[in-house]
Amino acid sequence: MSGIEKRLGQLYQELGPQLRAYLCRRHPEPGSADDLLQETFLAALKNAAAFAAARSPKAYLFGIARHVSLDRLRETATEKLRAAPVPVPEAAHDPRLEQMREAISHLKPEFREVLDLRLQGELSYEEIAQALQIPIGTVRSRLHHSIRELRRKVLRSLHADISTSKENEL
Amino acid sequence: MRTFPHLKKMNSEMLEALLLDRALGGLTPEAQLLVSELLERDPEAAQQAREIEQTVSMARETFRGSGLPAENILPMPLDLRRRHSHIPIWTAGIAASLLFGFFCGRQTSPQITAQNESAAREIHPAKSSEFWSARSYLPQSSAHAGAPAPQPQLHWPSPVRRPYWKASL
Repeated sequence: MSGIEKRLGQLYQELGPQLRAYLCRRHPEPGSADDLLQETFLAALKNAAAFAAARSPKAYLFGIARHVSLDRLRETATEKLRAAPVPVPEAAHDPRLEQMREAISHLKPEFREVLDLRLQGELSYEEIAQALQIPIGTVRSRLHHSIRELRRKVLRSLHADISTSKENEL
Repeated sequence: MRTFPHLKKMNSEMLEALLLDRALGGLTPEAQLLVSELLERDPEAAQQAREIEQTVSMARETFRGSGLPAENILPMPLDLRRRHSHIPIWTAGIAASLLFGFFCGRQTSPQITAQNESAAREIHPAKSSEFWSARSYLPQSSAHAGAPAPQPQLHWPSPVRRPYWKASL
């Protein structure tokens, strides 16, 4: 086994769950995310030189995963990223999280994507910029815009609850 | 404790951007110190920071608990999947072909029945008069070989007559 294969094997264990979760949200159909995860690592293996030269393997793999995902979406004649609501487990019936889920699903796909990569994928601003091939300033502004939107939509009602409880305490 | 007098004046947009970066983990340690200093002295900014952190926390929780399958269950890597699946497919394919051939052969092989046996007995061996029989072939081959001289044969047709030699045809 070559050094690249060994390294990719390690990264599969380390980053596989995050990549799979990222792909699952973009392709909720059963089995799709698993196939795309395999394709991601296969593509990295085929482009071993580019992978070895990447500053951040994590950003590189997320970038490939995104390309693979977009290719699949094009194949299925879906030109834009899915605007489907973020799936929520049956057990989670927290009304605040439900509101947040609704608010996230209404974000534009490009905003939702950077938020996903930052909060779930735990990529740094720089890694997100590499993965999406956009300037780091754009990453920052999209993240800021997303959080502002979510705060405005979700916490409006929450603030009312907080202020009410504070008044009761006093 | 260090103080940062230059943070006394800051517009709301800049403050919000700093607080957003802080909540998203996008600040350098130095910048985090600056913002912490500011928040200690500015209750209004501290309240804003709490709200932003709460929003980010809820968004993170929503993303992470978004009904996805268990993250620790990964599919088998592709090369291993190939190794495990292709070899049995080959062997299973060969085995299936052999079995198929065996059963087809059993189904279509000639069955020995009384009718078939009697029909087989009606087939006679080649007669000696046929062209390929040894008896008919040898004289022809000797004729084609050319020039054996006719041998005289002794003829004695009747006891009352004298025998005589005659060349055979």
